[in-house]
Amino acid sequence: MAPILTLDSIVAGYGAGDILKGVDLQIGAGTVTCLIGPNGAGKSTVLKTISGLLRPRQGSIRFHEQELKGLSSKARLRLGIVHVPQDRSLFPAMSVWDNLLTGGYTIRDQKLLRERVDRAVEAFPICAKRAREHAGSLSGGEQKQVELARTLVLDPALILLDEPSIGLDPKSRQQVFASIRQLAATGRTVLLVEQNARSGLAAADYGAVLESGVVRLVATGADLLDNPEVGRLYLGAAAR
Amino acid sequence: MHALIQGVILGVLTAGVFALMASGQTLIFGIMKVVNLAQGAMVILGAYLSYQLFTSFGLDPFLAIPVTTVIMFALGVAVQWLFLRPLKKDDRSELSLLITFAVALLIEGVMSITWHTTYRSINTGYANSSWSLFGYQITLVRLWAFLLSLAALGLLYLLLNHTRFGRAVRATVQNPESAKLLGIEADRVSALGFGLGAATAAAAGSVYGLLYPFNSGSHYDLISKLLSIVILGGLGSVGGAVLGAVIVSTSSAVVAATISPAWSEMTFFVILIAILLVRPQGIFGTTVRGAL
Repeated sequence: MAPILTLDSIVAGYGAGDILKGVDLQIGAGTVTCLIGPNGAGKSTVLKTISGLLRPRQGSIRFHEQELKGLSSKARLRLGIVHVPQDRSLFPAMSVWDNLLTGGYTIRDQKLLRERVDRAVEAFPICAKRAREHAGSLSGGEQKQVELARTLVLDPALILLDEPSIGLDPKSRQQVFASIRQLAATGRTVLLVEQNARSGLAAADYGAVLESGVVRLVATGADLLDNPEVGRLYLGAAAR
Repeated sequence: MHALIQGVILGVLTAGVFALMASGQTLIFGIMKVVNLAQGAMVILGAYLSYQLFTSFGLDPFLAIPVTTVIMFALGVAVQWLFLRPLKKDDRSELSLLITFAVALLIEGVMSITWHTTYRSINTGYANSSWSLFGYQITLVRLWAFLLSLAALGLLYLLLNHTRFGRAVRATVQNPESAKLLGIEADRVSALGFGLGAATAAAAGSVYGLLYPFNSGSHYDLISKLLSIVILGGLGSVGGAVLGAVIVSTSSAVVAATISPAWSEMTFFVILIAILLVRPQGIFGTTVRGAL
């Protein structure tokens, strides 16, 4: 499958130090890829360099063969790259409905915005049920559903999800991974970073292991789940 | 009892004007975490502009508001863009105090040169008109000022809650990084927000000039009152600013009417300290990033 996103020898970091030390990664269109690795390996940093929150020092990032280097976060958003950060990214004192509308801030055409919001609400019915309530009053799982619905307002081609299951109870976690599969089923590409590696890989078509700022291994999600070394290092037990 | 009720009427009517001034102050804090020490000077500049339009062209101060708000909006955007935007995010809260104080002094200097330091007042034909209602005096100017302030606050509410710009402002206040990821440009929102704060100062200034005599140094008195109001209501909360203005203004007027005018100025400081002892974040202040 043709890659929608190609990272080539990416070096990036904060201050004087490098967190990413030459990341190479290809993401196939319409797939779900889960990036796993130990704390501090640079998983979130990879997402930030793709969305434009962090400028890489070296290397190139191509999206549909277009070089992203030099493009602002807003320009990347317009290309269809949406980043959902690790911390809860909703606006807690705004209603769920206003959160969805804000998701489409870059859409000037009000009719189109309304259509997109309607479609997002259709995919995530919780948004209709709680439309007038403050987003901050929702449970963690519900907030995550609204976050995912908000990404849909932009009709993205590539969704970057940073730790989508963090802080959620097991039932909400299952819901989130089911929603991620649902996003992929509509032809969108998902790159997710996940501490809960077993659940993340189970929901993903492909997995990549990031260690010390370099991608060490890429395989299908199933193969990584069966890999004894990955199991020992990142899955908390022997692979099943 | 009569004096008490008269004091309450006077206080509530005056509160609208202070609520308008303070809403701009709290809006700027909410968006940028900047305590704008120039807000009082901007109010007085608004009053001078209104005075000039009245004396030169006979334009009524209420009708001058669309003109003065546009001028002050542009000034606010320029101040943010030139002086505050270059500050690093981590230093902004501290350095902005010095910078906005410098802006206040700059505005005071310009006002002193242009209009000198003589006290001015805007004396319209209806300045001394009043109604008597059940034996209580309601001055026409204060009533109009109150209604205008309510209308301006209503517009501000609609702008913040029912427009694309308002959503961008609230989003930036509540979660700046997430707002950026959705394509909201914080610098642009900050500049427009500062402009909006200055525009509310201009509207309030036109009314202030009708109610009180002023000179270029009047902003020192105003800024201490405005800071008290926004701290009392909770920094970053427009609703809190309105409530704070009502408390400050009404308590001052009631004390002036029932005890002595000499005590009225310090009344709200006593209330401020008392409330902050019980509720350090102010009445509407929260530990969550602002709801505005």
